[in-house]
Amino acid sequence: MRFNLLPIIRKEFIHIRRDPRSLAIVILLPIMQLLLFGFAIDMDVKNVPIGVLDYDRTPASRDLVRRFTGSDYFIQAAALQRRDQVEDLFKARQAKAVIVIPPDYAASLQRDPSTAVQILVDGSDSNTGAIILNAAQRLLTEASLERAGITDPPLQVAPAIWYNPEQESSHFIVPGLVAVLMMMICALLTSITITREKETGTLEQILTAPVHPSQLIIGKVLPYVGIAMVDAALVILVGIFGFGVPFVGSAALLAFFLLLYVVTSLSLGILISTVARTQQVSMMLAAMLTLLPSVILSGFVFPLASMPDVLQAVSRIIPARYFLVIIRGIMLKGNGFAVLWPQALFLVLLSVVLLAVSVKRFKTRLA
Amino acid sequence: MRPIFVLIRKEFQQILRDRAMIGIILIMPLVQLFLLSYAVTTDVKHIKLALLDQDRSRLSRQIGATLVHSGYFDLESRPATRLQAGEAIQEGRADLAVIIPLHFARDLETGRSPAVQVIVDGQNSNTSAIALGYVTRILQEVSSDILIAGLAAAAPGAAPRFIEAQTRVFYNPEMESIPYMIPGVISVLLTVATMLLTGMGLVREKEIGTFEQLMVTPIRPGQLLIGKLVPFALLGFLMLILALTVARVWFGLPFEGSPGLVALATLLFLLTTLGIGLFISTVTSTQQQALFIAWFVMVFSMLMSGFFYPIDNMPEWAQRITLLNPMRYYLAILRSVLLKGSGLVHLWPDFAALAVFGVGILSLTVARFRARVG
Amino acid sequence: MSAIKAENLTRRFGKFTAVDAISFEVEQGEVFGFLGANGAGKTTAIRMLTGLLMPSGGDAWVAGRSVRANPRAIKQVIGYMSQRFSLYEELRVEENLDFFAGAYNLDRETSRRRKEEILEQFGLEGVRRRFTRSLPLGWKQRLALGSALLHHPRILFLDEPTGGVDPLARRTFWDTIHDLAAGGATVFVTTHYMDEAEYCHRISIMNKGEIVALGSPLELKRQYGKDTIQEVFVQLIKSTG
Repeated sequence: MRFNLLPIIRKEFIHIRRDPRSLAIVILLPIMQLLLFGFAIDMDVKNVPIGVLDYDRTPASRDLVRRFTGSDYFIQAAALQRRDQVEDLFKARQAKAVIVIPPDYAASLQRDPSTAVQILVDGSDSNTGAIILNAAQRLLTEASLERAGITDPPLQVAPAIWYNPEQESSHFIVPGLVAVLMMMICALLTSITITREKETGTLEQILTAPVHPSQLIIGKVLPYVGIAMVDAALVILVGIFGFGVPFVGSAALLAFFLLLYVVTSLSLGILISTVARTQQVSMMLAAMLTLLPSVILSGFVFPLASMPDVLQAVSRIIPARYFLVIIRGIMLKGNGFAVLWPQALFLVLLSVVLLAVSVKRFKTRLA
Repeated sequence: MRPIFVLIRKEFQQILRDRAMIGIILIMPLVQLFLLSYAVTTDVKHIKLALLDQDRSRLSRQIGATLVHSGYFDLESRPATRLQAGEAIQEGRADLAVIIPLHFARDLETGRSPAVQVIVDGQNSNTSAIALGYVTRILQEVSSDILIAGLAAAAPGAAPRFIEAQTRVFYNPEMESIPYMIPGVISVLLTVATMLLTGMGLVREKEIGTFEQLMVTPIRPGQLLIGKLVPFALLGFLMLILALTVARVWFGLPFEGSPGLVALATLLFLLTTLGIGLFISTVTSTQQQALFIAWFVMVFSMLMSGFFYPIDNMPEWAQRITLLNPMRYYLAILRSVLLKGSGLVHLWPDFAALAVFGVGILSLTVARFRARVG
Repeated sequence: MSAIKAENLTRRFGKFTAVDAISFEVEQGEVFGFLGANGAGKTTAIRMLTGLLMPSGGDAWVAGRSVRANPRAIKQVIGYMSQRFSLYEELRVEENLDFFAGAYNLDRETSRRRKEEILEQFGLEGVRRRFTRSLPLGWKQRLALGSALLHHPRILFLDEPTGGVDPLARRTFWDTIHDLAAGGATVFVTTHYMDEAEYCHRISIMNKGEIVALGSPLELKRQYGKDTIQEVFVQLIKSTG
């Protein structure tokens, strides 16, 4: 067996080495994603551009405007003269909210038990819209309490944020990125590289040599396993040293689970290559069946618990979902095998089923 | 004209022959539309709560009940000790633990300003911040209720005067996230289909040898280029119509603005994606390479477009990078035209940018293509 | 006027000279065999003659048109069949013919007529609706030749057209080539099979980028005192290193 395997592995390595650009991209892509996620993407909403329509123009109204524009949440993007300018402002995306202070604002403050200020919000981005409303509400409450001379609230909230006290998104993204990356390299790359041999007709030629189909497949995928492991290590190291992501648990345990997950991803890739006849189809299938679910339905970025039941059910067959629990558990919480065995068991079962199906298909397609 | 016609017909024959391909082209938009629209939500619901009430006073029970009935949390357990509460989080059974300490109500009466302790699993920095925000807001409401009640009791008639917010939400009064996500899904869909398929299509012909056969015929590079662009541009428009129809019928996506503007923006955007796709095919020799480069471009344009993450939240340097991303402009146009009914008056800078990118990228590609092929 | 004329035709890739100043002429109606060991520069030469590759030095004229000055003008008058089957596998037999007829700018009526003629001439009528992928190799090669003939090319370039085809099919293939030549077409063909060289009016043998022998099969056998072209070939390749 070893006798036949080596030449195939060597051939695959030659392919990879002849094409340094692809190799560079395979290595650079995860780093770019890491940098973009780590540095460029910030879920905190701050400095929202707002428009101000102040009909009152008194020290009191200016004071309220300063309270808004002086906070971290808002910056003033425009001062309006008339009400009918609001929609143009929203349509041209120059402001996401407008605060309208009525003409008798200062007078009303002295006179009435409550004074109304209008907050107009561009609700097309519902998330930012909700945050704007909350922030405006908070600022107005603060202003009210301050006017009443109250500074100390009767009760306090003492939050403790475990595993990620600084709320760094990189702590969350780095392990997730490893999960997506392994799926991308193992499923996408291998399915394409096998389909490529089919498309260019070299597969038939290789199979006329005394090589068992399983040897061929193992030989073809092993180099990619190597690349995947190197990539994973790279992302984890950049995460640890570049972004200060903690690594609390056991590295050996993580390596073991990584290999398990790699086998699962490879089985998926091989299965796809038995279905697809051209590289384009193979690529599209791999993207739809492996990458997209691994990003969207795994809990990588979007919380599973908020999704509709159907999607939650679908997510139960997504390998990345289980691997994410494992890698986050090991890196951030220091979980051991005792906690993670159910996820591991599932990955094993899934790999066995996928491999059995794809080997069977591979044989019937080629025999 | 004949060569262009047969090139386009051939391309369609190839696409329509491949049953897997046609399935992908029709099903992919739908899968992505449903999947992304429902799954890509920044709402945080069903937070698993572990509640430890050490005080067992009327007030502490009231606070516990308020949390449980707020709709944000699913009560997972009532641990007996702090240790158990911590374990629930450690093992992933709970996302959030709220601990009301002993003598809480008594301390509050005596004005010692006691603290409710909240432990949150911070792994997902985003959801944990939102979860913490919910708890904080609920407790603040309790706090100000107590405050007002106290003030009213101390000096009747001297209750503080409140500045109230009268809010009005434009365009999306229900504040649903789906209408905002769908234009993003459509942009990604168009990019994937057009950039990848054109990028790989020409390289495929090189790989299987038909490209050389084409090159010995009198077909001109320009004709070949058009023969590759037109089918995929049509395909892009087909996908757009399909996706918009489903979005309208199923998700009730509004279409406030002018269809002509959407068509114009799509045309300009497709010039950029097809241009990049073809450009990639002129600098690569295998489909694998083409795929990698296209993938790289796609991940970049997706993350830097404002699809998942608002551009306004990004640091200054990252915002500047997004200016180089055609998808940013297309997405902004699509969202504004569909949801708000914006017109050319409002969107001309975005259209101008798209046009510059479209024409620029395509001319670069044509030049490169002529140099390589002609 | 000769159909093909090469004068000091040269192509270098970096420091490597693939084709080194070759000169020859091919007459109208001739079947010209272009022989050489693997890597001798045959394919590079044929790519220059068909306008796919620009020469680094010298020039060649195909139907009187310079490959340097006017490579595009050559394409309308030549047919080309490469050593690799390079039609669209996922298209039907007649769709491939339709496509290449259009690519050669034939109008609709001519396209239809030529397609029927080719289908008949190459015995492909029975499989016209079949997907090209499903054809046996010998049939595919007939289809490839047919596609290259749609526009009545005056000069036909065949790059190892019979690789992997059984002897009977090869024989039929050569009959077709001679019919074409009899009809006035010039055929420029490369091959590995030395028995096929005997079917050519004249052959050239290339080694290391140079033409080391040129003449009719009979002349060459006499000149080198051998019984077969195979023996001539072996001796030439050995003696020129």
